Amino acid sequence: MSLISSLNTAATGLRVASQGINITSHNVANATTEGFSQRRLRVETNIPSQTNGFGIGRGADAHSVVRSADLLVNERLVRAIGDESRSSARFQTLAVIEASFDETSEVGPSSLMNQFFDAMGRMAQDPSDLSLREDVLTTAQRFAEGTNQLALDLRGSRRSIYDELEQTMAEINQKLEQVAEFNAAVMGAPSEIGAGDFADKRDQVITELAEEFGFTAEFTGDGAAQLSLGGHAVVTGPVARVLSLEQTAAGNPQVNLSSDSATVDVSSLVGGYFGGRLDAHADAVGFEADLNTFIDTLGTALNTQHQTGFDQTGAPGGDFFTFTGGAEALTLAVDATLAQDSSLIAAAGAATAAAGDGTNLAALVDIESQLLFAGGTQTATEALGSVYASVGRSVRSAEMSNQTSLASLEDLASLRDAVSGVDLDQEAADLLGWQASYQAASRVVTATNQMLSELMEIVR
Amino acid sequence: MAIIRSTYHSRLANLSSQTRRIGDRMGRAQEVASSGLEVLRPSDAAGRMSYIHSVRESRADQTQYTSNASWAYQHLAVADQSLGGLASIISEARELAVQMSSETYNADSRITSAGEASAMFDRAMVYANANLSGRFVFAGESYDSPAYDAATGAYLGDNGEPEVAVADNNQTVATGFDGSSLLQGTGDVVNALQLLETALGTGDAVQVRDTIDAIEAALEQVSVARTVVGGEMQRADDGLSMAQNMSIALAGQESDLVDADAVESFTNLFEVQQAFEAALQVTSNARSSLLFSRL
Repeated sequence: MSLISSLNTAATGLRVASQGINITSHNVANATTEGFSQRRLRVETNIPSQTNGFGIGRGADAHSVVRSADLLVNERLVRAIGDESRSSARFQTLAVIEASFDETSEVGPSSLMNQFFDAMGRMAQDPSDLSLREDVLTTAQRFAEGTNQLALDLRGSRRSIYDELEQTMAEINQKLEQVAEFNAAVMGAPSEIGAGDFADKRDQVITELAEEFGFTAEFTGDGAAQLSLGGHAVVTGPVARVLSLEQTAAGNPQVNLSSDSATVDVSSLVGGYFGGRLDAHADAVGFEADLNTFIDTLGTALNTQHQTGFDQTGAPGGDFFTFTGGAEALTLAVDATLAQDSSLIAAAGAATAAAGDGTNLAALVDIESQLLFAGGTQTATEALGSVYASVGRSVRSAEMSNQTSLASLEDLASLRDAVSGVDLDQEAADLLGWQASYQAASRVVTATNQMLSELMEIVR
Repeated sequence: MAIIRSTYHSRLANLSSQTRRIGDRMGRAQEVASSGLEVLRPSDAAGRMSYIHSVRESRADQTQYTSNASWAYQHLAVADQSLGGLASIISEARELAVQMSSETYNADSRITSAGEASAMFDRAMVYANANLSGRFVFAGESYDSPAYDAATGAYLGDNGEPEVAVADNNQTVATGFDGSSLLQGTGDVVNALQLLETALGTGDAVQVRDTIDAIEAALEQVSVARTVVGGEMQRADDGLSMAQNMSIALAGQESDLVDADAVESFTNLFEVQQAFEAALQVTSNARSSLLFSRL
């Protein structure tokens, strides 16, 4: 073996150490990059040369750059991110909706309803007293307005959810296109380093999509990622399908996936932030329906009873409240004619009754304690309390679900980090190692160079 | 046992996550301590929400019952005082009738006494038309106008009996009475006084003596009426006491359901704050534990 060969061998060490330092710096630079998987340099010994029957080593070679990733962990992580994002979005949205069901103020429908019935109870002291009658109308109007406001808040929440989803949908489609493009780049990448970087970027977009929409990802042998939604392929290799959002006749959001032959409703399959917002939308629809049912039952009972009584002129009572079917809470109002004239409150039980007759008024007050709701099992207060309880249960359930999915996500994120994360301590140790390795190889080059120089002196 | 690789960033992420959880708990502890309430929103006590609302409704009802009972009691007191006055007048009428039915007095004296009986009638009408702030307590449900024609003694009210609720299950107390029934039942207060005046006007001792039974019956009628009114007053008083007691009990119940225990909430806040400080300290230490910083 010649000294020149020794120089070449030492040079391979320099090259490997340089590449090692490159990999370390790449890892350190991406230590905080979301979705980045650490790279390890795989070094192999070069095949030795045979000289005079001796195998002489020819140094080392950087064989490949390995991307530390566990596909199973990554797939589970993507799913967990979607689950956490969904439960978080639902919880956050419901927490905002819950604020409308204020428990501490005196302006919620429950408190206002109590005030309305109390005013009627006070009116029983003197049904002919105009100020007491006005008080009944005032509290009735406040109850109606409080209920309108609550329904309006629920409607507003639904509308803002829909508007936000509409904007998000365009971004989702854009990202699906990006995944398809990265798939194409990974499949056609000329080098492993390049493919790894494309895969990292794609996986980051996939993570975002899982977080936003709950897609599941499967990684195929050719390096491509397939995104699916409940069994429907959305991105396959370099091809992405288009998602769209539309509003149904009932005002509910519907997510459609275009396929080659038709459009499929995939609303029930959507997860992630988008799915969480859809869940919260459905919750808000449920709360509003409960509220509407409550108002319909209460309003109908009060109207029916009011119509059996007689006002101060001896005329039969009319409707006390008016409301529109399907939007009872939103449209609840004191009957327009009654609102203008408190003498029309039908407190008396007979047309010819004296001014102090409060027979029908007592029956109206009694409605508060009658079991008219939930199939004859609840009073008005209990029924309205049940609406509040339903809101509270939904928020609590969403919060607990969020805590569970967050814990699961954190576990998987730790697991992924254990496999793919950049450990700065390890990189620092590697850096020292490559540095020492480079210095040693340099020393070999220097020593060999010195020997060659001395040899040249002899020849001269 | 396999040791899972732990990176600098995963350690920081774990610490951050723990710190955030403690931060959330601290936020909640601060909210409870500052508001004094354990239940600020439906999700704080979803299972108890219907019950809390029912307790609040009951409290509002008790306030209403307290007001009603107090209001009824004031009107009943007016009725009771009026009946006391009427009893006194009828007693005077009885004495006059007994006195004037005696042969000791002559016809002129009796005729002169008729004026005294007429004055008694006028005074009785004042009591029969007793009112509180324009509400006539013996006019039935027509309480906006006088119960009796002061000149003729004709009943102008109706046969209704206004009442207000003072407890659950439609427990009511009268706030006024049908005068034609209360004052003019078996014994007739109005008629007895009118009979006496008429009899005295004749100057005939026998006719005067004949009114004594009617006057006795009227006295008995007033006595019965006072019992009725007294009973209602007792019920109003009971209703008032019960509503006030219930109100206190329900306030305690609501407090148990929604209020925070001050000592517990501040202790909890202190503990969570300590934990939060410790978590921040650990995070700070972990941040400096890095080999790169030693190179």
